[in-house]
Amino acid sequence: MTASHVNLKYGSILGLFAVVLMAVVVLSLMVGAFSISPISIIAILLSPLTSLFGLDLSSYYTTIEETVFWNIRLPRVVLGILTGVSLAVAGAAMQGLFRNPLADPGLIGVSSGAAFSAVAVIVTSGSFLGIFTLPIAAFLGGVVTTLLVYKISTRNGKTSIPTMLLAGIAIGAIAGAGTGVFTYLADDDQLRTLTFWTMGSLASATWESILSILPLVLLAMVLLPLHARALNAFLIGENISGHLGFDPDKTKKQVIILAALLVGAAVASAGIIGFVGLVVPHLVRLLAGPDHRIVLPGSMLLGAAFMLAADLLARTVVSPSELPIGIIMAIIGGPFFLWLLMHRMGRHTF
Amino acid sequence: MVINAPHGEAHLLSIVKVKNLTFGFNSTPLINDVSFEVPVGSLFSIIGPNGAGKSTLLSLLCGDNTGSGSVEIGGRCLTGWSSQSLAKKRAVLPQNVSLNFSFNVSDVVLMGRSPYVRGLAESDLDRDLAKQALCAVEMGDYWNRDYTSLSGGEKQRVQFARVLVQLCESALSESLEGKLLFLDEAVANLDPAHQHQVFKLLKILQQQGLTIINVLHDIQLTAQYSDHVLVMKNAKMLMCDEMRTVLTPDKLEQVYDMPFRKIHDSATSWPFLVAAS
Repeated sequence: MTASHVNLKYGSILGLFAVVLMAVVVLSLMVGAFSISPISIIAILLSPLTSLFGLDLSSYYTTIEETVFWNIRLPRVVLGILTGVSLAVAGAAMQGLFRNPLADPGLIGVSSGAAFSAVAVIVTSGSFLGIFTLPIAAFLGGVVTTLLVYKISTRNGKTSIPTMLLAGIAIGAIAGAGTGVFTYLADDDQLRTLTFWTMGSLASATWESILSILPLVLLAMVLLPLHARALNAFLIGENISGHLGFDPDKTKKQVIILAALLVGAAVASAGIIGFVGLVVPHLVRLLAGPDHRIVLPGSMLLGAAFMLAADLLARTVVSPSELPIGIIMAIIGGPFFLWLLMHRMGRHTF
Repeated sequence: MVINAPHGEAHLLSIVKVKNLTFGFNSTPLINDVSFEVPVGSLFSIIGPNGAGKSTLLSLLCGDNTGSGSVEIGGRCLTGWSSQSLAKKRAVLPQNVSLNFSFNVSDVVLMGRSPYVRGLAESDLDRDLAKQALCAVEMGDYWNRDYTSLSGGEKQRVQFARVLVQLCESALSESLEGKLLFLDEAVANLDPAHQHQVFKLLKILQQQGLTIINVLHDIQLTAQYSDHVLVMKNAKMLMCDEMRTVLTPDKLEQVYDMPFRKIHDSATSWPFLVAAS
């Protein structure tokens, strides 16, 4: 296979993921307690543009449709894309770093750490950094947890995977207990937010919450793929990546910080949503192999699509009421994780 | 340039110079005040009992660990090398490389091209070299195979191809003078036929100018292929000299605390030594 063949293969896989994402985006914009037709969506999207040329498209949609679209449907879809991208690519990067496909931000306690620190901020009504308070608090919680888990499970450059998963459980439990303490301190209003939020949901999507995480997510989306080749080398060994001319310490630090940034952003805006970082990168690897040059961008596209699809289920199965998306993810992800474990017993690799 | 080696013998140009190297955790040194030089183009073997510090010494030479004292490679202090230019000068072949992810054989070999890749993708030259290197280790048909499905011996040959393409700038036949290959018990898991296959390849690379530093346990392989031998015992360097000077029954008894006998076999040109308990 020549270089161009590889580019073609990777290109067509990414193209496929992009088409899937587009389809889910359109479906998500249309379907809901109040459905909007595709023609109305196109007209609503184009109307700001066409009005500049004196063309009025408002006969193609109603005012209610317009309001629902701009204030409820679109922010929810955009937030779904951002959180899906964040959690999936953070999972993929952590799996590379830990050299293990089971290193999901949710499983190793990073999400719980981020959540604890965010809950602390909500209950103490801290707002020292304006709209960025929650994302930054969640990010710090995520970084501290990742570093703790990494330090505990790594001796002399070797990361013990059982220790990592067990340390993740313990730290997750401690953070969960901390979150529990804060819910006792919370007033009724805060409590309602917290409960819904610890189960994960995109329902509270606003343009403001999107804006508060957008810079962090975009930054990490650009910087993380730059480490793709270093992460590939990491998979055959931390020392070996150094022998090949990469700087393992730099890779480790930057990837941990970027992944925690992404998990923090997702947790701050949508609460704890597990398994995205586990299921999505695995599907990408199944289709395209473990090369991070395809796994990282592929996980971004497929992660967004996966999140939107789960959210679509969350708000349609018990319509007009809705389920927290975290529950949907656990229903899909839990059995998937078990299947992965049993599959691993037979084959030893992923 | 003529340098006096520790044993008074004159060597032309040393590629590795180690002076007063000490390393350890807490107060127990794993490497205790070791000094030696490796002549350019030598096949240099490090032997010694288990736990003597052989692999630790190698990890200090390839930069995985840093001790006190100095390690010079190609006339420059190890810490003075940028990781990328060092990666073009020396490659490391570990004992075994396990993978949790199903990379293809081609992916693993192409990783050896990392120091030469600009941007995201490997070039056609990189791929050509990788294919030739796989053929050189008789794994030419394995290009698209899943690395994790290979046997231990096959994996090790793929790793050998990986370090081969790391050392060569643009052709497998180019001069490798001034370049270094470290092997950490790299043939320990191979059957005798493949062990000798690897060493024959090493001998070819040596003729291209490559210097090879090799940690191993097998006295016969050491005798058959090495030019120089360094002996480690209890974190210290016991001796470092030409192979024939080190590999004698008396000296081996000192190293392993058990008697050795030299067997005379007219078919071999190297000393044939067996442990005689």
